[in-house]
Amino acid sequence: MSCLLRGLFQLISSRIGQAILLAVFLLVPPAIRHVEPTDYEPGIGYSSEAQSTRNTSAIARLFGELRTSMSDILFIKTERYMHSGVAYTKSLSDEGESESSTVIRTPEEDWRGFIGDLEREVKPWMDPKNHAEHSSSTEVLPWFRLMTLVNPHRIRGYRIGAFILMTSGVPDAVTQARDYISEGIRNNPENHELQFMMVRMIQHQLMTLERQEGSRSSPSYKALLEKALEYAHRGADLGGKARPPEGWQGKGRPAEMEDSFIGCLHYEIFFLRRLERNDEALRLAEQYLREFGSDPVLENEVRELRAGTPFAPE
Amino acid sequence: MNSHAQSSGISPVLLSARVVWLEITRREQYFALLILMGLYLFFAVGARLAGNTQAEAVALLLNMGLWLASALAAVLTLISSVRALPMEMEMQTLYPLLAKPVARGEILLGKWLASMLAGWLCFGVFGILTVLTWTAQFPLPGQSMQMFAQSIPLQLAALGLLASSGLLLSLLLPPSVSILIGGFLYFGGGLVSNLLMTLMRDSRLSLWIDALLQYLPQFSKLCLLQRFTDGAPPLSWGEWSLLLIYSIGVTFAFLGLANRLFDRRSL
Repeated sequence: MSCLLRGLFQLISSRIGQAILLAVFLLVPPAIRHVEPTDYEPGIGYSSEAQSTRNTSAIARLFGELRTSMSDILFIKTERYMHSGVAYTKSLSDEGESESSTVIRTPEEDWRGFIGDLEREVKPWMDPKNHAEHSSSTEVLPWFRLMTLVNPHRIRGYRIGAFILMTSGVPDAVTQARDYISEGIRNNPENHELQFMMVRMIQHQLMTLERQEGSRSSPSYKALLEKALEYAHRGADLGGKARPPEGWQGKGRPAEMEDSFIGCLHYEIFFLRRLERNDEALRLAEQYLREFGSDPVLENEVRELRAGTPFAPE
Repeated sequence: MNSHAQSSGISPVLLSARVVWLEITRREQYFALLILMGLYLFFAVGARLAGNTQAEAVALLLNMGLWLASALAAVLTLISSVRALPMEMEMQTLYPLLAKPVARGEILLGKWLASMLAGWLCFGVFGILTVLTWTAQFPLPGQSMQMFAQSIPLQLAALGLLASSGLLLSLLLPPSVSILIGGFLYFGGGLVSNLLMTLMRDSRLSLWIDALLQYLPQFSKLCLLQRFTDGAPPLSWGEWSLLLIYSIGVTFAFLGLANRLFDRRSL
């Protein structure tokens, strides 16, 4: 023990030791620059079942919004904004579950009397028997911006934020949404969901362009189509590498990942057909069916391509 | 001190460490930490007795318990390390010490060792209590014991780095400011560097800011207990070793710098 302490003392106090420490200090931090141990896909806790259990667990409720991280808290805030500031206890529960209650109790359930009445008056509250009042989604956008600034690997933040931005009706909405997703792709180059989101944005732009020009043959339309194909191909490639053999199973986040991946496969074939690269589309559709199992849309595409049916615009 | 140390066979470093230990027990800071941890354990044991043992709820409570154990250990480490030297200077107990043939580096090393060990003990006791509370479910399906084994040494190394950062800060700034900065770096450093880097990404200064941020202690890369409770896969051994080397290297670099500042300081 005393030898070790003497050694440590020599290291921090001798000139040679200090020179070594200086070299270590200058060289080691840049070496861990690309080690991101906090960037991972959680195995527990992000599915909607998990979030529902947390929300309905009595003990977990005691801890309120101190659930996982700052980014999660911001995500919960967006929900609250969507409901005009009213906090619902089962706001994250499974889809299709109709019963929900507000965090502030209803007068019938509230034993606090005057205090309860006061709280319902001064805080945002509405009777849960009435349908939740959804406010303008643009109010939520700053929360999404902050969420992805705090955690640039928050995929859902980029995806949902971009969708709300795209449909918000603000001037230049699609361009802004594309910029936002581009930032997400720069921060998460290995994620297929953001590639799919970009495909959806470009698809939206393609439809607008088609309406404006009245045809699908203009050079700008074709250039945009090529770009969309590039993203769909990259999404299919990245998703194919990350996907477990049986696919992402479960509701919520796994379902979103699976849907995005399948979406990339479909769009890649559609875009190839629109570009009249039918041989390539057929080869790829058959390859995907072999690699990832049966899929009614891809099977239909293969049938049509083999029969030489022209691509029907959707 | 050295003669006493020699006669008693105890290193001056350990004697210096003992002063910090005595101060921690005298101030009874650990009572506050015990109360906070006790509150968590009260709810957690209550949840177990009430049969609230669904996997997802247990994962959340396990996460909270381990986070609380590491956060309380960090608070104890930071406060002990930041107060260690200024307190001795203020109470003028350092002067008789320095009159003896004891190197300042030995005193510094003792303070660092005691602050770090206090944090380790706190983390160990509270961590074990948390795990024991959920022992029937530990680890949950999907949680990797390899990740758990990887996160413990990194957490201990983070406390060592925090102790050396605290000592260094205390030689540059007043104790309260040092505690604020140390606490901010430990609990919010990762968050703020993310924020800064995203905001400055397109600026001409981004490269410089990025380089500068690398030299701040990266506690968020060392505190990985949430990665375990979230059921994420373990790190590769290469990454893990790199993080461990980083934490040890920067800890001693900070201690070396603190020693240089302490040596040159006129008392």
